[in-house]
This record gives sequence, C-alpha cells and structure tokens, in this order.
Amino acid sequence: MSDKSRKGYTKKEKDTIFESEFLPHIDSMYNFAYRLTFDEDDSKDLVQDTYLKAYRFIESFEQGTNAKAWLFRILKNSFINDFRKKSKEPSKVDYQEVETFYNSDEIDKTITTDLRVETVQEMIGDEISNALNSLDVDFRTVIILCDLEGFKYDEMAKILDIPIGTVRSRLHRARNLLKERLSSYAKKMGYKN
Amino acid sequence: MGSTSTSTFDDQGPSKDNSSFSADCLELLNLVLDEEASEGQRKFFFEHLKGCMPCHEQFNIDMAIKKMIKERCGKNVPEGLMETIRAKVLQSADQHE
Ligand SMILES: [Zn+2]
Repeated sequence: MSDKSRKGYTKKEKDTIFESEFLPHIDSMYNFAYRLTFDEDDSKDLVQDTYLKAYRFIESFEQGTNAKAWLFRILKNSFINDFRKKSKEPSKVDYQEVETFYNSDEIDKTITTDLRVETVQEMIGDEISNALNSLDVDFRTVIILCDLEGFKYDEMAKILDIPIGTVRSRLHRARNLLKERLSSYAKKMGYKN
Repeated sequence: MGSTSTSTFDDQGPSKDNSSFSADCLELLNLVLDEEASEGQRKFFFEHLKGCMPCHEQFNIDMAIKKMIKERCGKNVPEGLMETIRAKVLQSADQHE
C-alpha cells in the first residue's frame, strides 16, 4: 500500500483481492444473511448483491484492512436499505424504543437466570440456534457478530454504525434475552434447572 | 456516545466490595468474555471470581453459551453459489472495462 500513490487497482489486482480476500468469507456472509432473512433465496440474493457491490466499490477497500468487516458492513446496509423495506415481516421493535430501553437502568440489572452450565451443554438440538433466531434483529445481529464471527467491539461499531457504548449495552441486553429464552426452553424440555 | 461507552474502572477494577455482584462486575465480565479486557482487568476479574459465587456462575454460563453459539450456529453456503457469484462478478467487470 505504502509504495503506491494509488490511482486505483488494476483489473488483475481487483480480481486477486476479490478471490483471496473477499470470497473466503462467503460461508460467514451467507450465514449472516440467512439469520437476517430466514430465507434461502433471499440470502443468496443478499450475498450476491454484497459481492457485486464489493467488487464495484473495491477502490474504497484498503488492502491490509479487515475485509470481512468491510463485507459485513456492506451486507448489513444492503439488508437495511434494499431488503428490509421489501420484507413482509415488519420490524417488530421500533429502533428508538429499543435505544431508550438500553439507556434505562434496566441494563445494570442482574438477570438471575436459573440456567446451569450442564443444562446448556445438554442442549444438543437446535435450541441455541432457535433461541438466537427468536431474538429481534438488532439483538440477533450483535450476538452473531460477536460470538459467532468473533468481531471486536470497535469492528462491530463500524459495521453497525453505532457507538461502542451502544454495541456493549446492546450485546449485554441481547445476552440476557437469549438466556431468558434458553431458560424457558429448558423448562419446557423438563431439564432440572 | 452514552455514559457507558468508556470503561468505568481502570486496571484496579471496581473499587467496591469484592464479593458483591454489581453492575461493575457485569461490565467486567462481558469485557473478559469477549476478550476486550486489559491484562489488569483480566487479572482483577479472575481474582474476584475466586470469592464471588454469582460472578463465577454467570461467567461459566456465558462462556458455555458463547461456545455453543460458535459451534452450533454456523451454516455453509449452498453448493454452487460461490461459482455463480464469481461468474457474475467477472461478467460485470467485463462490462465496465
Ligand atoms: Zn462478582
């Protein structure tokens, strides 16, 4: 990067970046898309769209920076701008309402869940996945980015265009909700808590 | 940025009673869980865990769930999508040449 006063990547450079830095993340991208849309065809479209955009705007990608985070940001924006509007599923929670909730004292409250480690580990079916899917999209997203994809808080802040403080509070809230869901699954399934 | 955006404690950790489950504990717990804590914070936290049952339990649960999510919630891309995308992108590139 340093030795080049960049006028742009050559076609060959673009293709190399695309092949070696973008495409390897396709599983993660598809999984993210699927957990946003819950539809296979929509997920395919969303991923394809993201890659087409990524290639088209490849000049704004700086080599050596985190390609995965860059791609996730494009996918998330495509989802919000193109997809969510068309989606039949209305956004269940008003964003403002959610933010207000985060900023309330609720956040500091300790959720004393009756979940036990053994119970969690015994959940061999789709309980975790279903519990995750049952969360509202903003909560689902932070858990996917953090726990599944291993993004750091500052990367998540960039992907989601929110302050780090919001990332942290949203994550905290999301985890509490997830535990509530898991706990009720556990009860239904008759685990001794 | 809200007031929660920066760490409310430095490397000494929360200045509160070492055995009560507090908001500071929770904040620290999440930082350690997500590998965002400083070395000092980590040390403090694990020292604190020895004497704080609620934190200890909470931390184990959170770790277990995080691990399960990583193991159970992945999904592979459907067969053929990568090839389709590659072809479309190259095609679009040719059009723009
Ligand atoms: Zn504690």
